[in-house]
Amino acid sequence: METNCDNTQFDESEVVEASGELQAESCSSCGNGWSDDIRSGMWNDNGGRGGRGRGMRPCGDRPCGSRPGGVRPGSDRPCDDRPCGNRPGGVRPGSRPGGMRPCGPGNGRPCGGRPGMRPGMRPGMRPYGNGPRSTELGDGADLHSEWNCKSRVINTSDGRSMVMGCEGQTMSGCHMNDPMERLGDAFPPVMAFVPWQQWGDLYEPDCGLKQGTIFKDLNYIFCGTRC
Amino acid sequence: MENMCKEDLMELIQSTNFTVIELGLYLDTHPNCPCGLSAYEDHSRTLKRAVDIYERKFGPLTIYGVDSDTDWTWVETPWPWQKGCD
Repeated sequence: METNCDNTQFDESEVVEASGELQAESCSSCGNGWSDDIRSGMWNDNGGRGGRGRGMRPCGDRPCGSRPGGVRPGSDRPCDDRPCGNRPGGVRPGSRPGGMRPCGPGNGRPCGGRPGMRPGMRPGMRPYGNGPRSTELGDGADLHSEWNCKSRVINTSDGRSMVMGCEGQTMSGCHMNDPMERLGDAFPPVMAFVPWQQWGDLYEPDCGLKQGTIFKDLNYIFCGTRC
Repeated sequence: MENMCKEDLMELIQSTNFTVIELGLYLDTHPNCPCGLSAYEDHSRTLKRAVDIYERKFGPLTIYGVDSDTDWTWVETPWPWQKGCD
């Protein structure tokens, strides 16, 4: 089965491992390739997208099976039993470091095998689960046991939960190779710097009780509640 | 404050109590702020005075305000389900 930008259909046989990196054949339509991100919707374990981690060279750059034993950790398939160097030049930017394959049946490691926060997860984000995919999820659901490993739930600012990265479930383009990119301006990656509160004017007690704070500096109009 | 009605006094207690809590939260992270400490002292004193007046005139607000010298005043005022909080 070919990779396709439109329907993001994939076949396991096209996904190859190279020195600890998951690779997929390039898109048959646009040739952009790297559709494994679309498939998995996973972030790497280095703390986010991208990054060049351990063992990122494809087999074509070095003798195949040069990893001791020829089998990468967690893999049941040595490098030698597949075509090597099938991607000329092929280190893609932003690829996953070694051992970053999606979990799941047939992928060599169990789903939900790393409970709790994963490296790179943000506060409030939930770990991958390994159950059926859905777009409906309430807070408090046990994602580890009920959700697909390739899915991720993001709590939105208005209290809803969104499921992202469900194996191409809602993706429609090769450029959408990361589920976080689909959030656009709503959830840009940020580094937050919160200024230390300084003493300022206070509301009178009765006004402060109505406003929800006695500090005028902290009395913001929060969209979603008062807009 | 002595001449305030029950409702006004209750509103004063509620708003001042909220202010004291807010100032306490601020002082948790700014324990040496003189402005915060001063404001806390002022509003805390106002709250204590308002509570004293209310309990003396209208009955205890909490179990700690019961005057148990002669009888158990906790049960003399209406319960919340008797619209005692209105």
